[in-house]
Amino acid sequence: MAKIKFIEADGKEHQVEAQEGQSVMQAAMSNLVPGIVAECGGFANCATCHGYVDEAWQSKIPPPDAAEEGMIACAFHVQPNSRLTCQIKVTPALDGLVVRLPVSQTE
Amino acid sequence: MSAFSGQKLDKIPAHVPPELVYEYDNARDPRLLEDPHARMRSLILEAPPIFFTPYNGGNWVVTRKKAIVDITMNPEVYSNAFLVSGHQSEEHSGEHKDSQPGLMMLPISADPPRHTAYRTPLNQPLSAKSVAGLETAIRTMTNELIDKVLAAGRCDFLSDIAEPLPVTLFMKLAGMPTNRLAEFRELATQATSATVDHASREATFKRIAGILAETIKARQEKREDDLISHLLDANIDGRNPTFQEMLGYSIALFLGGLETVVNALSFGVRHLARDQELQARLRADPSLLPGAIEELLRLYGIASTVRRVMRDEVCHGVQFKQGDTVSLLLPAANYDDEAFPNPEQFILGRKEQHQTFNTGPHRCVGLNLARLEMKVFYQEWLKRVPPFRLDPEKKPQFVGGFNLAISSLPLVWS
Ligand code: FES
Repeated sequence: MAKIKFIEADGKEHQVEAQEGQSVMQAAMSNLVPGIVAECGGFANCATCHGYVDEAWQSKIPPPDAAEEGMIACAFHVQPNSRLTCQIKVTPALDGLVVRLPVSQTE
Repeated sequence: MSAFSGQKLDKIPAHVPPELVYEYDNARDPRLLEDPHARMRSLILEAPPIFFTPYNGGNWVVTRKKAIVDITMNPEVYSNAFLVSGHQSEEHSGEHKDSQPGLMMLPISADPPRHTAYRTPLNQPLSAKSVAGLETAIRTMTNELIDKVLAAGRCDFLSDIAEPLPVTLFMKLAGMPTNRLAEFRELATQATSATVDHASREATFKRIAGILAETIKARQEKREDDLISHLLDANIDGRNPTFQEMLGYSIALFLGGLETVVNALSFGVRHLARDQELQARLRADPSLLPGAIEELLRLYGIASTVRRVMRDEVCHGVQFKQGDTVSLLLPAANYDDEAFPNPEQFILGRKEQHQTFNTGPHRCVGLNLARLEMKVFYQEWLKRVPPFRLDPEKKPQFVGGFNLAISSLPLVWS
């Protein structure tokens, strides 16, 4: 179990309990966090689960692989700390993770 | 793609319980040909959620959204790797074995992780960001087509608009000669037709492959600013695609780009032609269009898809055996009341994702382009064409199979 905080673009915060083995995207979806669409269901080919990993956490998460990187390039409002949340596995070490969400996943 | 022989098994396999047998021929069912989407709804109401039909070699049919999502999200058990152009590599019954390996369609025929390697080169050029660059071209093409029919007060929406628009755009995108439009469209229709015999289907695919091979060879000599050129330089596990793989890509793009949008546009316009109030609403407020398009996409799903079961598995209470074929009727899942309350109704602003583009790794790669084409088309059409309705004299004709289709849609306006 790990607590993850999602912050919508307008500042609204959502604290969720994520299960180990889930992806960060799944944790958001099963808690109905708005702002993540996840059209492909976690296969790194839709870029609608895009989020910004808080700087403090970036080094604690394995870097994106080539498929994820290619797909991040397709997302809107990309920043240096952009990730596909479906590609980040929840581990106890991620307890307290903060993920900010873009204004929109689709434009 | 299954060869729709139409043949009925004379013996139901032993592992299929009799209460799960429901006779349904996805190509020739008379109610399907009367009104394809009404038939999709009736399957939800009348047939078991997962049923076994003895038609077309015998296969399972899944109609509910939850089960379809679970199956598509589990490619290790439900494989795509047997899909080849023109026919399945092996029929369920095992009677028909083709000695000639068919052409793999890429990335559709590959399972993850191979699928990811094949799909990655397409993600970027077909992303929402990239296709946005085509908006002006699509607008120009749409207006040229409207110019040709506007004064007449009538058109056959299929041949005058729905076919030329996506076909021209796709051929431009892929780098194919647009002056062969009619020929290409005919080939695409033949290739996905549910009722042509095995031999003519093979011949059609040979002709398509021949045309595509010419384009690929030309681009090998000289790159252009198009998808085929982009794919030639793609990196698949550290190498460029082989000629065979290039053919696989282009044949899948050909079928995906030429058949699906044509039909989605036509069913959508047919809905508007029968609903003057909705037409007026959208004319008055075009900002409703994106939501309306999603709802039309839900009501009128086009493509279905097939999986091969890789090991014995119980799915939503039904025992599948290794080697079974499972058809996922995506257009039916959009009428599943568990996912969509009052599924027959057009309701703007539904939250639930429809299944028209599928879920999981094989979710439609062309969906951004399809959405953009539809948005631009509806904007221009509703702006310029006065209230239109179905021609009362001529009934639309429908086609079944893997793609639900209309073959003619006469419209009138004054
Ligand atoms: S859910 Fe589609 S890329 Fe993450």
